[in-house]
Amino acid sequence: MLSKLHTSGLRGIDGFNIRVEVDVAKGLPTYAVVGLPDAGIKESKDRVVAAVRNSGFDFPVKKITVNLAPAEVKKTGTHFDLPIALGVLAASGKVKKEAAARLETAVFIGELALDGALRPVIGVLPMLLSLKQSGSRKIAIVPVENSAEAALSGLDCLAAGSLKEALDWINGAAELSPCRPAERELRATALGDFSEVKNQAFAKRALEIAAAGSHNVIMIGPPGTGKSMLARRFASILPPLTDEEALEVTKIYSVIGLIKSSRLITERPFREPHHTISDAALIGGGTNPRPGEVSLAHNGVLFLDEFTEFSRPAIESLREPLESWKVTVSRVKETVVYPARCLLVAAMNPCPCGYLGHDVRECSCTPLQVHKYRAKVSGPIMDRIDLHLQLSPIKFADWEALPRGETSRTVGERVAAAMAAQRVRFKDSGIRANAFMGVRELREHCRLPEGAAGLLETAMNKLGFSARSLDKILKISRTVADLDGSPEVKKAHIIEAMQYRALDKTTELVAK
Amino acid sequence: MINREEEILARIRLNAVSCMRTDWLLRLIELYGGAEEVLSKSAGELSADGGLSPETAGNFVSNLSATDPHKELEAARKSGARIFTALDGYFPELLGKIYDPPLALYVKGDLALGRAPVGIVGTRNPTDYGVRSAARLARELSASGLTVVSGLARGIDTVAHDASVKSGGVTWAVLGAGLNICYPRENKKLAESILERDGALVSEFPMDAGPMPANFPRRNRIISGLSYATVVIEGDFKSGALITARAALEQGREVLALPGPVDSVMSRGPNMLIKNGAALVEGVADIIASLPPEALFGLAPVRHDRRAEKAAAGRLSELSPDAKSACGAITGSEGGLNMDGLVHTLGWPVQRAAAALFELETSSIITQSADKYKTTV
Repeated sequence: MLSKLHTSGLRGIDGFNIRVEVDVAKGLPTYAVVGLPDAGIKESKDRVVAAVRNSGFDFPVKKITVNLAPAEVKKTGTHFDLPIALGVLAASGKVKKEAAARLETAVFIGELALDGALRPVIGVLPMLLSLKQSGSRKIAIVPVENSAEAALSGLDCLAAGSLKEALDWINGAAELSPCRPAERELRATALGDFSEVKNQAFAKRALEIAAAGSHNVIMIGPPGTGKSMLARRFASILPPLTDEEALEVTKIYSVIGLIKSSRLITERPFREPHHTISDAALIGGGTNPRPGEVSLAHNGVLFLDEFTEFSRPAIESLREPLESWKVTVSRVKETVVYPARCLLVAAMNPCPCGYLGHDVRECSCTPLQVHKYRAKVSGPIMDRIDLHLQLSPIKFADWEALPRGETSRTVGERVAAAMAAQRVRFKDSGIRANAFMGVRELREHCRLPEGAAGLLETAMNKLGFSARSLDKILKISRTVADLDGSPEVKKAHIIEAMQYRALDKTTELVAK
Repeated sequence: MINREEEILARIRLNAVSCMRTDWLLRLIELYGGAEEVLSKSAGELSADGGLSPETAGNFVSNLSATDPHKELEAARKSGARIFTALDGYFPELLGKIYDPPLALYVKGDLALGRAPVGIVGTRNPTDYGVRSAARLARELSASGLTVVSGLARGIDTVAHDASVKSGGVTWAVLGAGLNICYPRENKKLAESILERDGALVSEFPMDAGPMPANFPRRNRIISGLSYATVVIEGDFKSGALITARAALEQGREVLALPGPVDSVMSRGPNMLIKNGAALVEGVADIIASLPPEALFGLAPVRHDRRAEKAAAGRLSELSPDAKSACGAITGSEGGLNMDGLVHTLGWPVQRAAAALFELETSSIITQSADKYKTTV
């Protein structure tokens, strides 16, 4: 006998429909899975056999063929257990004739334990979202532990606890409980609040600008200047994720099984990979492609501490995501695209020993060493970083006397207002924020105010800015103006913007 | 009787031959009674009575044919340089006294504007301490009206020239390449500002000669030869700075050294010199004390650069009130202020401080180093 069921597969962070066909025929007892299954799916045989037996059924001693269609696409995952097992049962007559139609209306996803219980699987949300987007009206049967996640898709979902429960539902012998989304958590404040950073008014202002205009930032300063502290609190001044963004983020986390308690991820992701990370882990890849840290930071913040200590290939691999906000992983059989629209916050020491420019500690590096150290970050990468931020340690006396600063909420409100202004400005142009303006947009939206041409000329001559850095300065000044609520870029905005391009100045003759 | 003009041309020509040591050339000139005479000799004659090996003599004569003094003079004229030989009254007197003074000296700028030249030499990879000390000594020397002589190389040389220029002093840079070649290239602006401040660029190499490695030890003897005393800031045992110190000793000039930490590789050279009897330098007073009385003759105790002072005062008075208070805050701070410091001290928002800093920075009253702003006047 033959049975056919629906399930879903994952390609990158998108799902696609898969048909599971099971044929149980007379002949020598064999069990074959065809349709480019990976090792994980082939292993499902033993789980399926045990689960069927332990659910109180006989496993047919016949020639069993399982086909996963479309047959030319590679398939991975453990969620095929449930549809295969149900297929075997259906093909051996365990589904009533009048219930056969119900098989057609459902999509089955789930991994089996040997006792027939259903285990949670990864990627439920992206699979169901794709199903929903394709206009499907099917009902999804998912493991209980994935139920809250499945509910986020908006598709009709039912949660099954075991193989037996799923089969009973098909036969109309029992009902399954519908999936409900978990209650939204209040916004997490685990990463801290901006007001906890004392002093560093300049750095906080720079981060506010970075957040408002989606500008990437590099922080340069000796150890103990609060680089990490600032970076960790950076996400807290970004506006909360929109529903659409939250779904995008949750999809990515679902694919690698990082969703906590099946909830929608509502806080901005903050990723802080260690500097020993490989380029594949940073941007994504592997034989079975997985999203990397840049994608996990999608719609959030990617913090790379000790930026110069990252391997050269890892740093260089950031070029594509920083330029096009996606990562393309190409393999012989498939090409996968992961979204990677993250804000880069890089931090580095000013020199190898870390104490160049420190008030108290002595720097033991030679200018040559300093030069080499800084040259580790290549031009093309530096070119994608708009804001330069130099920090120095605060003295204890200052630290004690300092008042607390503004809260993340206050700053976040200004940021949100500036972002709203940009959305209006770039409506229908495909640009999301000031940082992504091209030459044409710059000309259009950053008209120089009266007298500013002379200002820029002075800056070029006296401070050594290049024509290229002037473009960056204009971009930043647009964001400063947005934060100011000003439709035009004013001179004061441009002057402030220059403060964030310190590394472009060539006024220092001496190497140190 | 030798024709003076022809003799000068002949010396420029001999000087342009790179394959021969200066002391040998000087010996030949003495032997034949003039540079012109040397030029007229064949390779055979030079090896017969000049004591050159036939091979060297042959090399020398064939290299000579490639040199053209008129071309050198023309090239020098074009870039505003002048060529002096020992026959000129303008040849620096101190340099003329050494054992092997260059046959011709290419000079951009006016050496007559310098007083009591003192050499400051050191490693290309200085530590923070070396940079700080070199800058301080150069500044103090300039303030006392002395001329700082160095080699325009990276590291200590650059710091010494730079500090001297910035404090309005006269400084001379002795190059290891022709005056048309700026080496290292990043010091082009510094070379220009040296000339602007009445300083000079000096070289014994033809105008377009490249920075060959062999040039630098020869260059070093000119640094010490031009100076009454040479101060070694930092350098390992085998460094150019120690070559200069040795040259100074051979020339009978004073050698001074800046003591450094015993565990710093860069201070091994100067510490060794001190052990061997070089004078220890703490401040400019130690340097001045080591100079011969005639070096200090007619030297004002402190040389004021009135023009620069006036210009600076003018710039200060034209500033906006905000910039004036920012300038006051930076001057009053210890070791400069960063943006945060300024914001904190004055209680201003970042934007207001940025405007003040921009005004100060573009009028060259302050400069940024790492994240700190420091005053330059």
